[in-house]
Amino acid sequence: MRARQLAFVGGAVLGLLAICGWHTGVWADNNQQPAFQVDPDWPKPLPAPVGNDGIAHPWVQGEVAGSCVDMHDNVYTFNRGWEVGATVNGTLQGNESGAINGNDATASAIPSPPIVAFDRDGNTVAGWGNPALYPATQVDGGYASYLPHGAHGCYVDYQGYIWVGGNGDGIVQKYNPSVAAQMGAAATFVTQIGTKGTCDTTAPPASGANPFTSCNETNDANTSHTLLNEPPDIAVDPLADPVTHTPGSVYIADGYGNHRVVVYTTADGGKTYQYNRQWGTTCMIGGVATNSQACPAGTFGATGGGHPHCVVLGNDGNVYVCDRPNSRIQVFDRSCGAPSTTATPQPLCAPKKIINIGLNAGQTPLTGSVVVGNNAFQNADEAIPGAQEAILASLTTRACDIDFWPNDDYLATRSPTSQKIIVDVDLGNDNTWLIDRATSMVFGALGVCGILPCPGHNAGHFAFGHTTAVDSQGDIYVAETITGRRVQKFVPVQNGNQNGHQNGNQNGNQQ
Amino acid sequence: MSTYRRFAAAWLLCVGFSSIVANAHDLPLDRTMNGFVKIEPHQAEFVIRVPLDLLLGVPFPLAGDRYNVAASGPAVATALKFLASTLRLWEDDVRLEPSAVAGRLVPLSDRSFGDYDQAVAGVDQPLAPDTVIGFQMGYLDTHFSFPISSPNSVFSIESSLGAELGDYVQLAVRFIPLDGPSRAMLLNGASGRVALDPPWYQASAGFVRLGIEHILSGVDHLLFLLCLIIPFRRVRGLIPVITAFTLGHSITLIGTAYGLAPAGRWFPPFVETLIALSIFYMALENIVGASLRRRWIIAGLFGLVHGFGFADTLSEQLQFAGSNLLISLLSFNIGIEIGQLAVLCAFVPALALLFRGAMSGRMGIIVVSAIVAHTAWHWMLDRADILWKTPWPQPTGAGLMTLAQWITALALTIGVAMLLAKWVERKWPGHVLPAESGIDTSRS
Repeated sequence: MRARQLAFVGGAVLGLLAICGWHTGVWADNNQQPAFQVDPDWPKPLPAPVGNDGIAHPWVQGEVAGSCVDMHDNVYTFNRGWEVGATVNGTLQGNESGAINGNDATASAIPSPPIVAFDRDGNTVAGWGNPALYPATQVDGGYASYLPHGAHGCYVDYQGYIWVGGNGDGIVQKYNPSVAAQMGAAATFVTQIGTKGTCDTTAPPASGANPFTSCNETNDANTSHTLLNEPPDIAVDPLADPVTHTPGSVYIADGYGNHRVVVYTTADGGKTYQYNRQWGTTCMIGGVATNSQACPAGTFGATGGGHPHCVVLGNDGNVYVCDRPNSRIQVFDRSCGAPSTTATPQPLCAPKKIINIGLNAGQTPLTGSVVVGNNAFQNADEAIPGAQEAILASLTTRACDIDFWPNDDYLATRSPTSQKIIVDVDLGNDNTWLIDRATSMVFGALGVCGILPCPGHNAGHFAFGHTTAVDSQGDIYVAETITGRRVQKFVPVQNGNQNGHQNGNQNGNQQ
Repeated sequence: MSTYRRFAAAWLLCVGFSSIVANAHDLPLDRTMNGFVKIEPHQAEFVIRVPLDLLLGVPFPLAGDRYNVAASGPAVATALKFLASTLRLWEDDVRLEPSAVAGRLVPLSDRSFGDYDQAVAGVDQPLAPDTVIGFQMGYLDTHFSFPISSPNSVFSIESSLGAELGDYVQLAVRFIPLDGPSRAMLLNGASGRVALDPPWYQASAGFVRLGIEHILSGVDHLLFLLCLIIPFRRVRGLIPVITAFTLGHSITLIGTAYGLAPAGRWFPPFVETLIALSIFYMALENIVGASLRRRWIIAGLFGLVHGFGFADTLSEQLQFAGSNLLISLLSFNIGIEIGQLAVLCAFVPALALLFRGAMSGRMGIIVVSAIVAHTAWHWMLDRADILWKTPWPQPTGAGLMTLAQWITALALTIGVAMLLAKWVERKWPGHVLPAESGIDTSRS
């Protein structure tokens, strides 16, 4: 019997050695593309502080418009739950899309602070706004009187400051996320670009049911050096500016009403900012403002919101801009528009590259532009007849926001790695595409549906995916707005250069 | 993270509902200190970067919302004294005292702690006069030099900085010995004093203790052992079963330590579910009175599964093995075996006592096994629920190929083992002991 057991164990060891050999060989395949899966346990339940009424009041973020990562791999969300409207639980809440209402308005739920930060484990590590800046009589909790209306994108710069922008009333703001507990809430505010409620527009601000100004999407001033229109996204350059040779320049996607990327530079280490240059204008074809993948290079789609919708600095020194209405990404040199000093600057800057996220039916992309995705979407068609047409029918939203993967440094600008993947949020198709930069192919998706539309509210589905951020460990975060109202985390499960979290920095940041 | 949750809950209760949104963060946004310990022939160099988030009690001077770096000297000196008392370095059992200290404030954007040489050079350089450091948006970089008696001593480190936050505050330290490769560790306040390069006997002793603690505190492993031995009355009959279980979990434990286990979030709940299933299955076998002739095979196969479970515990501790990875693994295994033997020494006589009188015969086996099966059933459902909610890897071509290879290899392994076993039985029939040898089969 003992001999038999030994023989059995010997066979088992031989077999396992064979397994290990295969196993190691497969995982060492550097050509293998990464795969990701949703972390259903992230984030953990938000705080539910007990109020004076003795009842626990759980935070509800409402629409999660913006997502960004800091150098410690904390994840910030810029939320709309606080935006004003109806009274819920004795507190005036929103009655527009940005507020908590409907299913969010549970018996005791309250809006979370505008900024909520989570650590990589999903713990809520910060929640702040700045009520010290609003009049005590303000009924909405006060945030709307100073935060950007239409809470939108956020970005953590190389000094650790957090920037927020909104597609409402013409401002981007800079905050110190660490300061409030020690110096008071008012001290979080550092500076802003633009004037709240005063827009770069020739039309009067819209009003109506919305008690706050909106800069009016249909206008196209593109002129002011001090005012913005509806800026949804921000990026800050840690490297020396190509014009001023000073680090810290702020790139703003001044979209919606305007159609430009505008750059502000600083000469005092980030206390104040001055207009330096801009580029971009409305797409015109045959004298008509148009949305089309045939739009002239350097112009942005005319209508539909978010033109441009994102601005991201790559480690190649280029500026990646989402032309959301045209489902394309335009890649510009950082020196574009330099320097604009005329009274009405609308300089067109030729992009180095145009990346079309799938080719719209019946539209001809510009000569030299790159079309990614159609092959992959064709494969989707083979899986489900009509899937390709369905994906491409979502003409205007396939480039909503992007980030690069992997980002060993949380700042894409100086991540030393190849950034071989573009993570592209496709709002209309409720999925997030993974694009191989080298081959310009959509090779995968974050959604559990694969390369197919993936609407839904279960883990790994999307509803109005809006912005994305990649941390230094290879995790990808996607914030969902309007009907999604959450932020999801996707972790790498296999890849050629970064196996799970094992190759990342042990402490989550590089110092 | 349980410490964090307690801390956060206490904080939330303290501040109350109305002030939540008015306050800033409740925990340090930056909770990780980065450091290097480099051993030179006559001294140990310790450079460490501490987030200012963790030094709130030090009154660094301000100019508006920024630090007055030029006037920060006295505050830096205060911080250095504080750090010297909370970050302790030992040579053998002698606590080292620094002979030289230096420190400076740096902004979050400073990248000099990418490697040791840059870090040391950075601490000793003055900051550029126009450097901007926003409040709480920087680090204190420090450099301590400790005279040592020998570079071959055993050096250890202990941190109590941020101890009130439990395991939330971490110290990532890279140890660079005079000779040999460097190694990284991630410590927290609960780690206590940790040897940076333990000798093999010290590492071995620690891992033996860890193995014993793990098996004795692992209720599911104990229940599985209980199920294995319930039908046996003689220790001799247990030997092949326990041996097979031990070999099984040793293979997967060591394999996992060398990075051969599947990655992915699905794997831990998968293993946990299988462990619960293994207990339930063994309990069922006992209840229905299945033959014990091949129990050693089942024990061996389920041992593979339990080994993955042991490895999960071990993974966070292997950083303390120093350069003694294999020895530490084997020591952990020895600890597991010692714990198993201790458990058997308690279980076997306890069962013998229990199975007397009304509980004698199959009645006792059935009752005890039914209780275990009931517990395992609930564990299995709970763990399967977690597994069910954990997405599996997306089906890619490479992934499917890997899966096919695993299945093929597993089938081959089992097939080869079975063939070998049969061949040996035919070849040396006289050497093959009946499986029930030493087992009281009259009641099974």
